[in-house]
Amino acid sequence: MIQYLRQYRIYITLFVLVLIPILALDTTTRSPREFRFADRWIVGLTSPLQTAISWILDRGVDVAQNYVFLLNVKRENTALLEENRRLLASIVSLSEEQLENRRLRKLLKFQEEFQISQIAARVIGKDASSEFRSIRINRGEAAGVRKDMAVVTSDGVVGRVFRTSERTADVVTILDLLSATDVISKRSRARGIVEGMTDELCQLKFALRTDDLEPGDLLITSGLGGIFPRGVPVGVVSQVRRPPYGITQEVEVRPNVDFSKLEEVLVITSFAST
Amino acid sequence: MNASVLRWLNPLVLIASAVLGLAIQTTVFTSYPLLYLQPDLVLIFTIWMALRRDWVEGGLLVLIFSHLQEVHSGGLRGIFLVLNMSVFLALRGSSKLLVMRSLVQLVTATLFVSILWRFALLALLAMLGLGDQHWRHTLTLVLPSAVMEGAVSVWVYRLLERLDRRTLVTGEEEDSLGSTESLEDDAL
Repeated sequence: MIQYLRQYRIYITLFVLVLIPILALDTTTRSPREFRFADRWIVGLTSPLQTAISWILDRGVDVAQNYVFLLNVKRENTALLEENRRLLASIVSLSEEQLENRRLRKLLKFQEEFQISQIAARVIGKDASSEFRSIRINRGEAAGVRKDMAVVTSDGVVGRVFRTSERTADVVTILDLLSATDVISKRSRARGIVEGMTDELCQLKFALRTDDLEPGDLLITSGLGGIFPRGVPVGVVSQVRRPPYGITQEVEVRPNVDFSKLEEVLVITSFAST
Repeated sequence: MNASVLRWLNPLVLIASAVLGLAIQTTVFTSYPLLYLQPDLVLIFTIWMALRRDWVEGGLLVLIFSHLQEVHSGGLRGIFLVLNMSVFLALRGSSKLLVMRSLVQLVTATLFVSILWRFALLALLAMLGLGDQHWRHTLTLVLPSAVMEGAVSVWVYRLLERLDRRTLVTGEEEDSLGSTESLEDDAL
């Protein structure tokens, strides 16, 4: 037996080396991206490194920007931009409520409100591969973050939490090719699913040819699935193509959130519709 | 230090280097324009394992590196294991035919492997029925990524060779190797 193993050790080694990845890929259908045994330890080891490096880079960039460029102008600009974003978010929220209010008053005469509780978090790292687009934030199970919680900023939807550890959480962004977010058009109420496509664009899938969609239309979350509250901005339609055949149209969407400058996010821990 | 201790230190240092490399890769290359120039350090490590280690040690280390990469990525579990192991097996198998000793040959191999890796990922995603529009992203990034990995690999290979010389080669082995060229002797 031992002699047999020794004689064919190369082939046995090859077989094992091929088998392990295939088994790993096969188990992906059952628990796609959960942490396995000891993965949490690995994350616990690397996340402080990522946090430290991010902190150093951010401080360095801050120093360069604050002391090389005009100090007061930047401060004022930052404050004004923040206020602008806050005001825009409230306008979208209020106008969405107003439209819905009118519609439902016409039919049933009632209103919908939502209340959100959230946790602020900082982005400490991005995906290790340029082919996928997930981010790591510095809040985990200890802070109350759980799987499938929505992650947003004042600009709009960032993504959802797909796995957590004690101190960190991984978020699949709407730019990722494995993400899917149910949306409706604010103007025409056309429905579809936003999936990631490139580093800057998403695509709206399952939009019927008969749906009224034009460049410039704002897409917001529909609230289906219970992950995202209804009415949170997702992106703006940038291009619409109707091929000569088929029942759907090809729609490109530019996300509201600027992912290249993403630093802080909000994790929605709960929201209620009354 | 004792030769056997150094020998065992080699894979541990490699794993620690991979962890540090992933931490740097996921934090430094996050903003425009570095976002589009993120090198795949695990792929570079995989190529080195294929050309400088045997089947068992190299294979195990590639599995560990790929697992570390998956822990820091939102990709499907097993996808990096499959791709990196395929690279390892293909390069290891062809290392008898294609002798790659100099740094120029290694960097050239890295460029080609990087391009093939990305197309292999595209094919794998297509087989799994995912990312039907991912080809746009692949075509945009395939050449810049390959160039970036080729550029970074120059330093990574030199560091890895320095590590191997310190921890793998004993006095007896030095005599038996004769005049082995060092990667640092290359014009690159």
